[in-house]
Amino acid sequence: MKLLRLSLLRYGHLTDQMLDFSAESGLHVVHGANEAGKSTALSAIADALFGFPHQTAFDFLHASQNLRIGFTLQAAGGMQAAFIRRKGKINTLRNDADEIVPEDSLRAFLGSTGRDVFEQSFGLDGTRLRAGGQELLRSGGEAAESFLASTGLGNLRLAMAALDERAKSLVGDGRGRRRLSEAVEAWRAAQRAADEAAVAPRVWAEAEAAAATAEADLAALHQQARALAEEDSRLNRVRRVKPVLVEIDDTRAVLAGLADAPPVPADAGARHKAGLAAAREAAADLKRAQDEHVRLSALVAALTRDAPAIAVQDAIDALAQPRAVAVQAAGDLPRVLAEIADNRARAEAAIEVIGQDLGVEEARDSLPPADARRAVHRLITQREGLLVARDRTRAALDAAVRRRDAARAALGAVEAPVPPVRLRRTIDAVRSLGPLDAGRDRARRAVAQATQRCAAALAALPLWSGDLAGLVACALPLPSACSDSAGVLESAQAALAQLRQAAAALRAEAAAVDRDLARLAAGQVVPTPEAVAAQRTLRDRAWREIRRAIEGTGERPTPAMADDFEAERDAADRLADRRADEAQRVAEYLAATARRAALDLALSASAATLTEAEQAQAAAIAGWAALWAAAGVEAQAPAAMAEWRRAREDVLELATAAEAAREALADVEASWARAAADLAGVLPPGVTADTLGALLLRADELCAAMEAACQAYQDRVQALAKEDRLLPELRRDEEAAQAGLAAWGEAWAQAVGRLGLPGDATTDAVEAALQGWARIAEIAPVWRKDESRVADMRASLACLAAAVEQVQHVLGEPGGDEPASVAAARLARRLAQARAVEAEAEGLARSLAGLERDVAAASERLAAAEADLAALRDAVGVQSDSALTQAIEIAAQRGVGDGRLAALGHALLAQGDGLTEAELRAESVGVGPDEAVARLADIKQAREALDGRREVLSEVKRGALARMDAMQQGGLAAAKAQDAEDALAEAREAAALYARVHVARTVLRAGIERFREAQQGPLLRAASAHFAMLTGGRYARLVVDEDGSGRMVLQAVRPDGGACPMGSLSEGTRDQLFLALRVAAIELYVARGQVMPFVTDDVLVQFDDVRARAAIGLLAELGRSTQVILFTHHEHVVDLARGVAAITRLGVSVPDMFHVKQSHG
Amino acid sequence: MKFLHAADIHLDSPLTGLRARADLPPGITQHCTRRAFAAMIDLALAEDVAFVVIAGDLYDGDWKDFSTGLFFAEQMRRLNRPCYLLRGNHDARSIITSKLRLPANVREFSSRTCESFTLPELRVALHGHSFPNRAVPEDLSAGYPAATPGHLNIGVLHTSAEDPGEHEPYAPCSPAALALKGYGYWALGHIHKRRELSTRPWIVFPGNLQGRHPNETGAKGCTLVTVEDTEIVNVTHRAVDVLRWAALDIDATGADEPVLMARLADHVASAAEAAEGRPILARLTLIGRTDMHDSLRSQTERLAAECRNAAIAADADLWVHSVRLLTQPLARATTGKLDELHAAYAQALDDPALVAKLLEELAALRQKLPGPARNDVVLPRNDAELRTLAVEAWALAADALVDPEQA
Repeated sequence: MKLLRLSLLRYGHLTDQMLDFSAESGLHVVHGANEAGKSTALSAIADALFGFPHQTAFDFLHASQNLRIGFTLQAAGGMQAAFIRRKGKINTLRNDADEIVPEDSLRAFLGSTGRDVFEQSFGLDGTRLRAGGQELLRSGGEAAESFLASTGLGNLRLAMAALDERAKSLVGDGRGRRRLSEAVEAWRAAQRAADEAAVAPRVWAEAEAAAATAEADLAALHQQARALAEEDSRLNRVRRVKPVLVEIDDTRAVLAGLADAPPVPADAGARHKAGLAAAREAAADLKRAQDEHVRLSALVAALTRDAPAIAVQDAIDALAQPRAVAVQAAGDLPRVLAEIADNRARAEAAIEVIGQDLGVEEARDSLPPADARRAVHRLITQREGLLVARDRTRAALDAAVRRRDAARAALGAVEAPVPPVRLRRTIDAVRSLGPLDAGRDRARRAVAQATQRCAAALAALPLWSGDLAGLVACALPLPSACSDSAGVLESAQAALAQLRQAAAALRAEAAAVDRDLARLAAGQVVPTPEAVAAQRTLRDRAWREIRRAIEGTGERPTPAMADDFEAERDAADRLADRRADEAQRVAEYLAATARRAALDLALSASAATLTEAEQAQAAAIAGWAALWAAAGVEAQAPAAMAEWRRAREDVLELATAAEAAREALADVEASWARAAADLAGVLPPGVTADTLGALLLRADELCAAMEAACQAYQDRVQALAKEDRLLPELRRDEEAAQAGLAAWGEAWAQAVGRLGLPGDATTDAVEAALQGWARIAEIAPVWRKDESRVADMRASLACLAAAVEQVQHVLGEPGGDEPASVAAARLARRLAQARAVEAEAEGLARSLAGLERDVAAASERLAAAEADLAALRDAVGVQSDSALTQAIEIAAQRGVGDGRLAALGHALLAQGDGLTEAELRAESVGVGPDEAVARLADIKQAREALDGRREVLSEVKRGALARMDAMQQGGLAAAKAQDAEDALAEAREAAALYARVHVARTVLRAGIERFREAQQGPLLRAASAHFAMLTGGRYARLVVDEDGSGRMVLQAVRPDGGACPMGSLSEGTRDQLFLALRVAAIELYVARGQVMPFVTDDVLVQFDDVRARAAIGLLAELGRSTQVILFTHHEHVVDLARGVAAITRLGVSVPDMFHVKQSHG
Repeated sequence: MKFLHAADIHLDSPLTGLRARADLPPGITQHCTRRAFAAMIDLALAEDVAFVVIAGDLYDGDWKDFSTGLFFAEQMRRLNRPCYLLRGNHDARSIITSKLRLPANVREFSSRTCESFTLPELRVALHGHSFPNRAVPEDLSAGYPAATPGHLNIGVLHTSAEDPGEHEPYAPCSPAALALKGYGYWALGHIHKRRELSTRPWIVFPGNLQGRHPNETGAKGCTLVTVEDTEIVNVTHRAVDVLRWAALDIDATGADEPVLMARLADHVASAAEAAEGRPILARLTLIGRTDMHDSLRSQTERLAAECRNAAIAADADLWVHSVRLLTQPLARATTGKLDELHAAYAQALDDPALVAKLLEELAALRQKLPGPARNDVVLPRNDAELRTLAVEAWALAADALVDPEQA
């Protein structure tokens, strides 16, 4: 794809700027000063091709929705199309006729390239070039990093480091605590804690037993304490009740002395005292009531009463309400009359505005109804809307007619194209066959490879010098026969080997026995029985010599003979002694000697058996060779021959595969030829291509162009039909609007008629009249109400005057000039005074009646008191009050004694714990006070001892119960088990996450290596050539080699063969290297069919003239395969590029064809 | 007359698959099984049931904390009415059971033979055979006696029935064979998910009392059975769990962010309503094909927080214990810069040596885990599982390549 034109209609700070790139030139240099808009143009290319991002930085001058970029593209087949891109959410792509086109329209130009690939791989600026060079230095030229960075993939080293770090944080390398190890440790700790917290049944049983024991001990303790408490209680009771019993005896003696006094009623004292007091109180009350009666009777006689006023009191009371109304009316009347006058004046002014001859009251009472006035208002408002609607429908109709005429003209300007149905079907059919070019190439390569592999395998097959046909035909022995013969051979060989091994073992053992014998006999004679016997024989022989000398010859034995004898004797003794001491060595020596003899026999037998086995093996070998002789190969060992058989099968299999590949090639060739013929049949004469893909591409382009033409024609037909469909409806709308206005006129005449205006009255006149009527309508209610109030007020004044006059007449008062309201007030005051006097008189009468009742009651109480005293004297049997008083005092002394006796009885009952007096007296017998005190002290001491013991036992019981309670509550072990389970979950998750990270980093590392290896070959070759060119031959090539730490790194090689790592290259050279890598990567993209413009911005800013010239040369070379656009603000770069590049300058205006109608935005 | 049927209580056994979290109040997860069991006793008292049936797995067999048994005994004293207890595979050899002195109202079915208990005043006969060992491969129901005439016969059995599901087969039996016994109700235990195998007669797995695993979602509890004149007239499930596990499976297909958040809030509100005021532990899973596929990877914490906010809005206590992203990206029309590297990444697994090395390393990783975690940790054991993991792991690699700082 090539960019032929870029029109910055409204983008960033640019308006109507155009960049034209001719199709003929591969390299374009766009020159513009700083701020001229180079960077803006660069961003515009990506936005144009792939759409605006949601947020754009280029809407600071033109509103976001007005941003527009025009651009013209040329596809690889030569097809061209112009587009406009606008900012928006949908339908942002249009063609040069400003018609919306789908995004897929760009697919023919962009292929599968996405925005990120375009920006990362096909875009490069000075900053990123320098950053790329610095990254080469940082990574030390690590091959994967370098090559992948050149293809737009960076961050590899950082990504791997990040994954490694993450993996380390999860599991690590065994040093330090990581998430997994922490979780495992937490699990172990929680497990231990759960075990420790678990309650064992034994612990529960112990606590239960302890609690039960303590409970039993406490019960026994309680019994002892109870007995002591009872004794303590009894002794204390005796001490308490003894004084009471003594006092009871004394009181009973006093009462016996008062037994002869006369009986007196129990209440005699009280009755006597109450009777005397009642008589005194009744006499005093009688005198006080009589005095008060006399005083009140005098006050009643002094009162002055007004009976006439009381007689007409209702009439006077009735004056109060009308009087208050009359007073209010007299105050309000002038103000209301003034308001009426004011309203009349305002009504007269409104009548003038209305313009009709009306009186004020007539106008007020003939006010047009409110609905009539509102109807006129509505019609005035409605008229505006109807006029607007009429104008709008007229305008829409006119516009639609114009559009219909334009669409008809556009349709008439072109002829109806013929749809390329057959061509499309053929293309689809050929395409459905798959990539036949590639398939044919693959099939050819497959045939060559299969043939080559087969030949190589045949050549490598051992033991065979014939051709493939011979190999196929050779008569191999049957596997079963092979197996049998090989079995015989292997058995014979195994038996022989076994026998040889056994013989060798016998020989080795014989040698070992010899060594043992030598060791056992080393240094001295072994004291075997034979050796001892031999030594004794020598001793005996020496003795016999001596004896012969003594007895036989008569010669005197020589000292030497005695020495010899003694020496032999001592030797024999030592040998005998040693034999006892070295019994084990002797036994071993004897056993070894016997074993050596047995071994000699076994070796002889083994030699004979070995000879037989060798003969059997020779026979088996001969049989094996005879078996393979028919196949024409020299037989080897069975295992080798089995391997040879498999190798032969591999060769035959490769031969079969080669044959299959040849058949597949023939099929593909036939399909290819048919497809090419089919395409040729539907393409115009002269359209040819070397490959089916190219032919298909040409056919596709041709077909797409024809389909586009058909689609464009169909679009015009549809546009005309659409306008034709719209016109009737628009006409109906216009007519409806006109009819609405006519209907309005009729309604208007009727409505203004209800206002008393002519039907043709203007809206202004009607609006004025409406305002007048509105004013009258506004004041009319208040006005009418005021008139009604004046009439009411005057009536209430008259009514009061009549009522006052009538009351005065009854009272006989003369009439005068006194106002009615004043007279009414005065009469009310007179009545109030008369009523007060009457009330006072009634009160005094009630008091006098009460006093008369008090006098009668006091007289009755006095008589009753005197009668009661007389009855009491009679009851006691005395005549006078003094005798009565004495008798009452004696009775009181007797009562005190009885009371004391009762109190002592109660005390005895209370302190005797409920026992009877007799029981208490019996209990006290024989208990002396001093003995009781001594015993009580003993009891106290014993109880204190028991309390101490009880506290101890209670504590024991409480402890046991608390332990049981804690065990019953429990749950601590469960909580720890939950912690352990949580830690397990954490460990599982850490492990699972680590597995994911570890697999990611391991497979990614392997994937990077594969990717690098796949890319490296062609990329390295191309980059080597570019780098050599860029550096003017100072470096001959690039290589990938292993550095000291085993990494595969990129190195530059000088012409003399010296390798230069990244660190030794200058910054400028590294920039050149990065540029070489990037250009090589672009070439790879292009070779894969991903052809996009390579857009650079000031990439040569850091280059000196020599480097810049070389870089321009490289970019010009790249321009032969794909378009290269170089933005720069350096004039010298333009000068350097002159001659090899087309020069474009920012600032050319956009032609009209790219302008878009704003109203359609 | 009513009775309660419960099973698989697993008193004091921990919740599994839940990592410790600082934001999760400990009171939410502690003593769940105890609290659920106490709630069941509360229910029994409130409904005034005549007796309670526990069809096995009251405890975990290797659980040795005696306080668990003491707690059970205390609850039985509180129940103060008959409780018929059957031992299942988990508590057949319980350390606790052998030492615990149970209150008189608890009757345990024999493990040597099928034992029957009769309640003459209620005209109820219960038949049950406790597990003698952890493994019982034979059909125990074959030894159950014929129905007692004139009584409601209740068969109490711990069994995997015909469909063990995720469990091993234990005392397998067929519902048809159970029906032939002529009992009115079969009180089964062992399967943790509530099932009614039949309604004539009633053959019921009540499910476990409290969910203890992220897969044990939904209401958990016991079965309340109402009986009139030896006939069963009503069988209802009553939730007594104190903590609810929920699975929020949300389809992100066709959703932008506001729509996704609205769907999430809807699911949370539904879960909250179903939980009836109980605290909820939720696993959030996003599925479907969406253009948010890539961006969601860095938003798991935020998604969890959104769930929590939605729960607060619904007046519920909800915590997200894990977030799973199973979304797929939309089919892309253009080629991204990572695509070729992605292809090389996928091809790298064609190297048998690399696969063998990774499997060996992952096997070693498995051995680093404590024994109880080795079997259920999700680590590949073969080539196919490794390839599946590698596909998931590419997301990590891609994140690291795009932004190493965030990886």
